[in-house]
Amino acid sequence: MSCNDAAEYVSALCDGEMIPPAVAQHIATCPECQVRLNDYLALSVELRRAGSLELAGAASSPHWTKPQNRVATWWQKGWGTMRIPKLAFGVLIAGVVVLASALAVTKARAHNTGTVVLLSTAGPNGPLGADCPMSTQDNSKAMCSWYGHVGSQFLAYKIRLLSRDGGRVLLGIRTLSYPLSSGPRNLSSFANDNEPGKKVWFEPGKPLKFDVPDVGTLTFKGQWLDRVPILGTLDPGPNELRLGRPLLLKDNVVFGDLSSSIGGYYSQDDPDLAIVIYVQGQGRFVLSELPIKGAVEAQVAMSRISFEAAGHSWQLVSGVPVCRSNHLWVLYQPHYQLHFTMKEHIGVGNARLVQSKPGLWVPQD
Amino acid sequence: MADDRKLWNRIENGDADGFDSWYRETAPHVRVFLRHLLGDEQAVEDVMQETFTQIWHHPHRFNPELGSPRAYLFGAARRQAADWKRKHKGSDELGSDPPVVNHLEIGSMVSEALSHLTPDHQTLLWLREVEGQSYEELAMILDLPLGTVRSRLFAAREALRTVWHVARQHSGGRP
Repeated sequence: MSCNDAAEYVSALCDGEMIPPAVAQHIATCPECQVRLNDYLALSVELRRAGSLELAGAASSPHWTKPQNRVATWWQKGWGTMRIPKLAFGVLIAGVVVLASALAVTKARAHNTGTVVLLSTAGPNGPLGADCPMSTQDNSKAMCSWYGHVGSQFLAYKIRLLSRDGGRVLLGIRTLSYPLSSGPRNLSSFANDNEPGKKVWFEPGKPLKFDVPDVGTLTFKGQWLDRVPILGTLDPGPNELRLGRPLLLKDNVVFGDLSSSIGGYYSQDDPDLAIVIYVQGQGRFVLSELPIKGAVEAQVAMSRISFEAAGHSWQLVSGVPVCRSNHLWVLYQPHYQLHFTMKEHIGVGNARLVQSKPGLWVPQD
Repeated sequence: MADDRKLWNRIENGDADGFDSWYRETAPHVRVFLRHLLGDEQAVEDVMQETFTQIWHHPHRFNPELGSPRAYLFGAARRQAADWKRKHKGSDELGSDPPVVNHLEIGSMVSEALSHLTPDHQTLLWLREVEGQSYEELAMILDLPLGTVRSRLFAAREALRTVWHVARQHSGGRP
């Protein structure tokens, strides 16, 4: 046993670790190792002393402020220093409430007379895709569809708005699900079949539960709009990732138009949800603001995402600014097996990310 | 561990008081840690705010199975500091500019010696010796395999010992 062999164990000893008996024996009898041990212990004490001094200097840390407290403080201060009679102030507030209620009723009525239902769908584990508008007047804009993984199942659904009766609409819901372990299937017949499926009445404003065997309960929520929304604001939200009529370019040549796959516009603000671009026979790209294991960093310049993968340069050009960040992470999985056959050679979906270790995420499937 | 879970349940449920008390307890430690990584006081404040805000808004990103909230906090602060460096200095290598820590105020030769180590060694030693993080927590914070932590700590201690000896010789052996 040499001192060099024992040195790392001396360090481990300082951390409260157990060490092999032979090494412990050597350290007990070796003057050089004893000196090293004493040095490490002295340094440890000095570091803790220095840390304690620095912490003492940091005692005047700013307080974590809560918005609720600010509001309460403002209200209490205002109430205490009010210069008009409190009764008059009360009447004023009551008037505002009455007027606001009237406005709310008017707004609700306006919504009931809308022509578009904005549908949001959630599965057992969270949102499925982005909100989807369905028109009661334009049959070409009366359908929402989604496909992806829900737990260990593949799920595809098509929802068609069939008719309207006052404040409610009749939906035709078709679903297809199967275990991912059973391997890929061809979805052409499902995609091309225009049968409405199960018919259910849906009233926007009231959640609708819909059970899918082996997958769980889907929850639909909706609201009335006056028109089919075109885009959000120019400025993306804090966690928003969005695409508007995107084109994928490979080595500066158009590789695919993703517009039809996303219905023109796609937006999500769940940071754990990644955008996935599937390429028939060539795997998939997974895009997220979270660092994904094995991903490359992509540069984001407003509405353009640029990255290198598999020896090629790729650009995803969107009609709207993509996100607030100036970079995204892109994982290219060339051997990813699609569990379905797409009509187009390229398509968009999403995948939930889970944390595999601190600071690193992986697609759930 | 049970207390950590209870605390995190409160934070996940939007309990601002719970988060506030956790902030008061941990913020001074994070501030000192970031000073060693960044040096610049304004940068430290910016990164502190970003780190705590992110955790407050997305507490579900922390997985209690992987470690303690405190270790998660230091890991998050370290990543935010790296982001700050990348945005402002064009490099995410923490400590590429030597941090400015007032060692005269601290009054310790060991702090001066520490500043001569690589950023990774500084971080490792600070979190182990001052913050008392375990090997598992260090692996979580620094994204290192668990088996690497012990050897890295040894290398860091040895580097600090060498610098410390040189400094002592120059100062005539004064500790």
